[in-house]
Amino acid sequence: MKHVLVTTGLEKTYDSDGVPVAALRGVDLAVAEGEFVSVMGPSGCGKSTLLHLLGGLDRPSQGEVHLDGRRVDQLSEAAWAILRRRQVGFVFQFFNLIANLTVADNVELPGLLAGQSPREARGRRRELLADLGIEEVAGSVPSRISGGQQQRVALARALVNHPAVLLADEPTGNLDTQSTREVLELLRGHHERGQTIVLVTHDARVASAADRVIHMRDGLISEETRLSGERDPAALASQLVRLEV
Amino acid sequence: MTRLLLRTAVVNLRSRPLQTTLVAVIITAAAATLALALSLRAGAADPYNQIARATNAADVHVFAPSGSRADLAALAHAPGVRAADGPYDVGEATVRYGGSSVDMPFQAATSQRPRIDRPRLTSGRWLSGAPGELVLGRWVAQERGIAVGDRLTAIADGRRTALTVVGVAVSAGPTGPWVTRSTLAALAPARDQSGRLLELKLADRSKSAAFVDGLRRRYQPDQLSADDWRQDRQDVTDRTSTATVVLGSASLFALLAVGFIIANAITGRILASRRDIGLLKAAGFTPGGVTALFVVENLILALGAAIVGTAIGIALSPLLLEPTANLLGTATPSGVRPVTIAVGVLGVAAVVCVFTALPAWRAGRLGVLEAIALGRTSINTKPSRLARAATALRLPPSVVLGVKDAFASRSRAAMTIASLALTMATVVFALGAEATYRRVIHDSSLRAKPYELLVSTNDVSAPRMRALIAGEGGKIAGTATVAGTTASVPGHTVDIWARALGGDYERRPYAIRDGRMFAGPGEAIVGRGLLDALGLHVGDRLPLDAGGANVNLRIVGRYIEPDNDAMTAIFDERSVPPAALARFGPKQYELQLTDHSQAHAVESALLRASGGRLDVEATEDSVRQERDDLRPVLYGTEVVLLAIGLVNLLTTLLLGIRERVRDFGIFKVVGLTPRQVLASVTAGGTVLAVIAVVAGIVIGLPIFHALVVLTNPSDGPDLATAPTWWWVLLMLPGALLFTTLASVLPARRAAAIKPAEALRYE
Repeated sequence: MKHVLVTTGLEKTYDSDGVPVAALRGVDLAVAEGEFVSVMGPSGCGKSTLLHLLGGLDRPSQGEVHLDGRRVDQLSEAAWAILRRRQVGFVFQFFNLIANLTVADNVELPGLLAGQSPREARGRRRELLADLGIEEVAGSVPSRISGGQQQRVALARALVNHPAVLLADEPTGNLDTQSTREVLELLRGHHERGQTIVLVTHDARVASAADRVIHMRDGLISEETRLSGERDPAALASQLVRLEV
Repeated sequence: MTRLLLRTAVVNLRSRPLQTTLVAVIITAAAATLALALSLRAGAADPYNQIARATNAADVHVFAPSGSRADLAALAHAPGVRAADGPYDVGEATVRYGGSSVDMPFQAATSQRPRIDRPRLTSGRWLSGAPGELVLGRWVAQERGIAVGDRLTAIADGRRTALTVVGVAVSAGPTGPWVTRSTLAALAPARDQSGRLLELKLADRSKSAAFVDGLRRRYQPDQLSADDWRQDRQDVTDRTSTATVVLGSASLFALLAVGFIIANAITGRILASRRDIGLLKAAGFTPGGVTALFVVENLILALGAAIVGTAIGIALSPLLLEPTANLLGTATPSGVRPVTIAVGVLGVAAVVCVFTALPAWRAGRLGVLEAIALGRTSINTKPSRLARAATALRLPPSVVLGVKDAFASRSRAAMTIASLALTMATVVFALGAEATYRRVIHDSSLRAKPYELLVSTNDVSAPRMRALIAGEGGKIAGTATVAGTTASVPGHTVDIWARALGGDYERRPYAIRDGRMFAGPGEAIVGRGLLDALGLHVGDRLPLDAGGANVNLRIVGRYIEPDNDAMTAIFDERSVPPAALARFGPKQYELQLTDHSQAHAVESALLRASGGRLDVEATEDSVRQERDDLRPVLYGTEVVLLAIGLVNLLTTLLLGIRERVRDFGIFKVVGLTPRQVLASVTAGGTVLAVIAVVAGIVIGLPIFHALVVLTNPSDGPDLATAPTWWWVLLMLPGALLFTTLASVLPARRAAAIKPAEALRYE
């Protein structure tokens, strides 16, 4: 089995007014190609920090990160930026779309940065927006569309370059039930087509969409649950909740 | 409540040290510019009144030539006279300085300065009573390059008297240079121009014209002549009108730029604080409380900065006031004026209050969540046309993003462009002034002087003069003679200035704008002022009473005439009977050179050959001098405006970045490298600067043209010269350099934003 993402002994310590605060205290994690991993845990357990380190948005204090077989934790900021264009897609809780760009511009931007011609970027954007069912909002600016639509746009932007891994940080945290369900179905659909996904959430129902759930506490992985076969979401969720408690 | 507001305001200011420092720098620079602009306006406004106030100017000057039986002592007590001073002896002598000779009128004075038309010393000291001392008028000293300590030689009836300049003084009237009575007696023994001068102050200055008319009716010109203060004012205005308009407009530009810059910086600061406004409202602040808080916060900042800035401006003002006074021939005013201090501090505070209260009130009325959300994405959501064009042009994505970002907040972009455009318009103005001066220096016909050298012969005879000219051989292409006089037009009350030309005048024509140059006797070319005043046109007849004879002329052309309000006529001397021509002023020689760059060489050669008896004036010198005097003031203002524009752009970019930290975080998440972020910010600044340059050129050219026309309504349209195209073109790379300088710090800050931290704001 090929691993897309591997971390060994990953640590992150922040400086808070001269006082060191450990966010991660040695995380060993391996994500296989095509796997869907959820990371659960209470607020402050280090799950978002882990995601940021996996995507190169922050630097670890100790440990290694390997992406697609290549060690990446020592890359420069510019090298990380170039790597992210092609290999990492991010989705956030607050969508983080660029407010003064249209939906179409937001989705095309990573493609253009990755060297696609405007025609190619346009074609890929049309394809993705149609796939996600939001082609009619292509000309709108983010503030004019609903939260669910904004998250789909963010998803389209993250997937535009066929990244090796999609990192999702509480992607449904700001959505209503209906939109949450739709976004999860989209994630599952892309996972079924082979997309590797690492999703951070504190919602057990959302986490239950994954193949594997990692539980974190105080900067360490405390538990792992492998979910397989036919799933009853309600039963899985209650099982995950029990594990959290 | 007040204590809470003050405490919160101080905490807010301290929490953003860079932003607070930059806004303080902008307000300090703006207050300094304001103080400089106010000093400049005061220094350049109404030069005559400035001089008149400083010197207790006379309302009427009465001159009685030698031999006159007019009783000046009685005139001092005439009805309507409030005070009198004099009579003082006056006389004319030829003065030699720097190898050149010039006729100067002198006035006798004691060791006490006269009470009326009291010369105001600008350097050196007043006469001590010792013989051989001389106090010179500032204008003459400036024009001739004479300073305190210089030695001159006066020549009268073959006798030489050594004179030492002990002081330079300003005066409103035709008086000065001043020497002691014994020195004057040695200089001017009973010459035609000698006589006595009485200075009068009237009870009612507005009746001076009637007073002078009364004197003219009572006395023949050989017994007594009189002029009033309006003639002095006209002389000063003629001398200073160009400089006054240029300085006035430069300072006006500076005032406008200051207003825009403060408004831009303060409004930007409020817009960047909208998230905080939302949080304050969530904490219980009312819209009024929010407004009050921001007004207090910005006022604390503004008052401190305005006091420092005004002090700096006042301290720097002599740098502009000294050359201004030199240029205008006025006494150097003090920069420390209550008006400057009050307007500098209170004006800045008022502008800050208004531009704080309006956006803060608007932001205070937003809903809490709306304000917090806008604080995160305080932008216009419609992409600008320029951004669409940048996309269509297939510019790199980072550049396109920069262009889009520049217009994310359109009101701020508009304010930034407006303030930069105004600065650029002043650059265009300065370039236009340079181009116009250059053209006028190189083409002396535009000053109605189609020759390189004007020679006053003094007592050199005509055959000797012709021999001197012949001695210069091939360097002189042609020689015309000119004699001038005032003339009247029957049926009209206005006097005009008439010039009769002889010799090779057709070789180098005047700058004719309508019609043609006169071809011989009976024809004349005239200035626009004459046509307008008399309601005449090219082709009409112009009967003149000149030199005591009736001269019948036909107007065949209009030429550019910058002097005498263009109330002038030029014609062939053969149009005038010889007896009348003899009553014109002394004949001068206009030398047209084969190579105009040889003017000073030929001037020196003629002075040497004549033994210094000629007065030779190079025509380009006066304009060159005016340009040289104007340059420090114009460019000084320019440098201040450019510096303030730089800080303004820098602050705009920094505020934009502070407001959009999250967006820069996202840029990095989707794959922009730090270098691309750097390029993006620089591109945004560049777009604003380039638009400002284009707008500055577009508005600067017509403003420049309008101001030249205002300075010289008759010939301004013909004289105004657009800046050389390549100088205008150079403004673009200049603007790029300017933008790069302003963008360095903001771009580096944007490039250094850590995406994980930026996105943690949510």
